[in-house]
Amino acid sequence: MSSEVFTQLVDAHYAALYRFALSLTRGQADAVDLVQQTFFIWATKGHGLRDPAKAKSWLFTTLYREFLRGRRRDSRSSSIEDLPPGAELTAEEIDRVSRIDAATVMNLLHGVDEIFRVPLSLFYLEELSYQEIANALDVPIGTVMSRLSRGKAQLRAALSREQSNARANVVPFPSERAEGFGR
Amino acid sequence: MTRDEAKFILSAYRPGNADRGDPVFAEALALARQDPELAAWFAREQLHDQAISSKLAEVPAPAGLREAILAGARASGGTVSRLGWYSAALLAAAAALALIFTLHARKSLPPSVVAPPVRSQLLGLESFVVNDALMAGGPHQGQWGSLALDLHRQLHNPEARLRSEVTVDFDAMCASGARKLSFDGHEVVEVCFMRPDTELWYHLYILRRSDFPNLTAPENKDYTKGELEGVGFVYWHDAHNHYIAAGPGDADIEKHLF
Repeated sequence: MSSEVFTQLVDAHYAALYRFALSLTRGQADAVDLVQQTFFIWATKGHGLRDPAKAKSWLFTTLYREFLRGRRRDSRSSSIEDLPPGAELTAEEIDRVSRIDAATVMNLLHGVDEIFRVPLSLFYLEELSYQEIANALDVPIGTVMSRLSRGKAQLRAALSREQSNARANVVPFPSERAEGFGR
Repeated sequence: MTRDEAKFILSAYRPGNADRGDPVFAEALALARQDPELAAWFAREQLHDQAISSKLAEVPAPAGLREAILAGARASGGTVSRLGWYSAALLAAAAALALIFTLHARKSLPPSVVAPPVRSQLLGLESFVVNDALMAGGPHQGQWGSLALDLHRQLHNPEARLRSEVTVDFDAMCASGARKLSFDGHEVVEVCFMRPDTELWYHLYILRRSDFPNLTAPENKDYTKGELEGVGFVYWHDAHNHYIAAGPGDADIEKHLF
């Protein structure tokens, strides 16, 4: 693979790969390391991939596998697939997302159990289809759909808690506390 | 298919149109068109998913990561063991210094030596565009500003003809937000669009003429077309910009877009 094509590959995908890595690792240094390692593997092995259209899927899959290789299994993540999906969304919940910043959304995503967080991150990054996510995680399509549904429910619950906490931290303006003041 | 089954399947439908042609969603989407309650649920889901996606897309990659990846790959040559962040950053700094020296040396050469031959530069651009379109597969994702979205909507119309109707204020589009690439050290803006009549995705790449003053169609024609690695493309220019549209090789871009 020529250096021009490699540069295009990096330009096309490094930012999204970094966001995916950040959603997995929580720390910038680890995320940076994972992205570098992924492109290093591409540079040394990935040029054997014949179809450039599959490069994106290959990069996300490789990054995830490198992440798995580098960390111990989280013991929490095996017993919670049976959580019920969330309730209907309200307009307020949708507005709420637009009012919070990107870093907060990423932090809330970290609060989702890893087994749901991985497909959910890939879904929200909009880079891979459910089929490509299934291939990357080596699970059936139905499992991806189930984990997406439950992951969204967890994220919505976290968003709701975030909103409640934000409300609790608001100090009422003095005139609101002194109801009827001056009358 | 029940409403709950449709909800289960549609929970995997990405915001936007990326999954539009996927047959797995067809039955659930058809049910949503007939069931107002399901349609309302799906609309709220899509809005919420889009809001989350947009927020995540705002998370920036660290400065220097791209350069470190490129420098690390060059240094590895495919054989050296893994580079750490710090050493790769040093290599990137060295690469940047080398670039400065190279640019300085080029400035001191006669212009006729520095300027690449016109045809070879167009060939380089064709190759660049084809690789980018191939790697995307479908549409590129990311944050688009208002002008890029306007152009996307304009080109979505099957009646829109690119050469006669598309005029772009390059700097304004960059300022308002658009997908940007780099070719020969200059910015390139790219806008994806789908034609609903063919359900095919196309990519329109825009470059400033002032950045590439010598680039033109062969033999000074108004435009040129071609095909490379299964990707068809058409190049033309106006007073301010160069344009190159790319799409599937079997789609007649000249007929459908010109």
